[in-house]
Amino acid sequence: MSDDKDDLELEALQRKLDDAFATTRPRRGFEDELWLRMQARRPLWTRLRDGIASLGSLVREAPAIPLGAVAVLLVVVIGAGILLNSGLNSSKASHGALSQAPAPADLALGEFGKLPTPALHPGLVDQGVPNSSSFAAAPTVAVPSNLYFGPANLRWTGQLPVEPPARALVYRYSEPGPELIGPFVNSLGATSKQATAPGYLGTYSGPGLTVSVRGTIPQLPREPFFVLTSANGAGATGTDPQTIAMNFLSYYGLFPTWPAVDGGVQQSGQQARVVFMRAFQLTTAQLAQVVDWNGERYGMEVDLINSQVRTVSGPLPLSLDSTTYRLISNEEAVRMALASPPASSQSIEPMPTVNLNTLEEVYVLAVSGNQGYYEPAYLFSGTFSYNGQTYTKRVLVPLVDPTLRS
Amino acid sequence: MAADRPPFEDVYRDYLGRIYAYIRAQVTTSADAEDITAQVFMNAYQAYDRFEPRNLTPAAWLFRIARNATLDHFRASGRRDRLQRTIEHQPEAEVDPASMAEERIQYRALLAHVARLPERQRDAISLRHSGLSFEEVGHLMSCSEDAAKMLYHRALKALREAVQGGAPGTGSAGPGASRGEPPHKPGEEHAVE
Repeated sequence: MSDDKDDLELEALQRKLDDAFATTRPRRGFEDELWLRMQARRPLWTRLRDGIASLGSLVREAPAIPLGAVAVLLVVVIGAGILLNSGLNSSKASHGALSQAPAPADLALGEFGKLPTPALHPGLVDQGVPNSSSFAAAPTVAVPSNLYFGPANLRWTGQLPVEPPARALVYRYSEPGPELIGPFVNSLGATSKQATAPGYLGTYSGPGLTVSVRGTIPQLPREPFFVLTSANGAGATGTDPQTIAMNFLSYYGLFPTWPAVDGGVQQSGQQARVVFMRAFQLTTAQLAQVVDWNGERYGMEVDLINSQVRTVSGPLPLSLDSTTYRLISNEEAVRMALASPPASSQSIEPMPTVNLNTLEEVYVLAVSGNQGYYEPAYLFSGTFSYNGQTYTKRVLVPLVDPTLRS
Repeated sequence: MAADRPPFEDVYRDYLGRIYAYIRAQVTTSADAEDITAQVFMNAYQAYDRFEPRNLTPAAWLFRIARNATLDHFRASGRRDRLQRTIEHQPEAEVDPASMAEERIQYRALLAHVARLPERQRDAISLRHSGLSFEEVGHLMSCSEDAAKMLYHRALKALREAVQGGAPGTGSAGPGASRGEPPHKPGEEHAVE
């Protein structure tokens, strides 16, 4: 073989190698999946940092929220992030269950098997524990009275967002037992066990506070949650309800381990409620908020009276497994929305025609046996008028491929 | 974070494909390549605060992690056995006839030949064609730049002979060859045009 020919062949081989390496890439969706897995493993303080980022995007998306209030909250979130990051060992955060919640474990695609199908259950309310005023019902969010879930002629007239990712994470928790509740309430300073009502995992008291922990309420459904009642507000101070609430949560190590989105402040006289909406990361750039059985966003709520924190309620900090599931396309989601049966049989006559024109990516809880699953979904909505009143119709469409759901 | 350290997400987006290709050229299945790639970036993410860009480029840093992870993979799984099993039992049914016409099949076949080179030759080819300089290749392989060049050229010639010899699989993918059947499962990867 001549040297020239030899060189030419080797050069051609090099070009082919360049092309081979340049065109060998992971399958579609792998990049986003891996990024999500990495995000799910981040330590708490970096998630707080992302919470700050999400607050920034909220300012852009929802100008109705007072910028000043958000600015204050931003400052406090940053403060809390710094405190947690620097290991504020003098506070209860150092031994709070939240700060010790393990990172989600990664499992292979679809490893949870067939998922339960999430659905809206309008009108249901948690009755709490009958004949016992000392046990709290599930924290509720204010549900607008003009929601309509009955039969309607549905049309889609909105603009579809960017296609959902081919796959997204589903998160799972296992029902906690007393062995997990004890360390959590002890970290809050509540060590004395009180009588436990049916449905509750425990009620504990300590100096100036009482903590009740309730298990999953499958019929709503609602994940395990806690209600902390404080007699003295733990001395949390600040110039406004948000600051006070944040200081209180930091003191007890109760700041959400999940991405928290500012839910604003509801104020009435001397009473105020500060809300941190729960969210999960749907894609690398997008948070999807969790909605309840009415399609309402929810998360952690801090109630204040006369600038003192009285109660805090929210999801119990539980470790979550996560794994990815294949999602349906936008087109399929719209088709399912239009064909979906009404969530309620209560109807308006004649049957209204509703133009569904907005949709929101959300996560919604579905429960099966001893486990709860946060699954991605689209929440479609549209309004119509009836007897001079405007009603909102909501339709929930699970995004996980139907063949992967039971 | 150091002022000259780019956000990790940028590094991730810039290098994921190259790291995957580097690993894919050395292992027999895309599933293994995904697993190792995931491990590489998980490790890199955790260690990023300690990465000092003044001493090392992000590419050299990431490829070092990738190289170690790939070596760990081979140590853990017993590469030769796996390779032999793959060659002997590669099911014909897994070949997608439609995709055989695509040019990228040639590339998979070529990478399959790379995967069968001796370890250091395979490494030299993979690192070099993943975009590293000979200096970086030498650094990663603990040899001089000149030694890396010599190793690479020996590897290139060995690869040409392997390709012209037609083994493994049913065809050759080197210069003058039309297509070959790779041991990799077809249809698992997305070839970027």
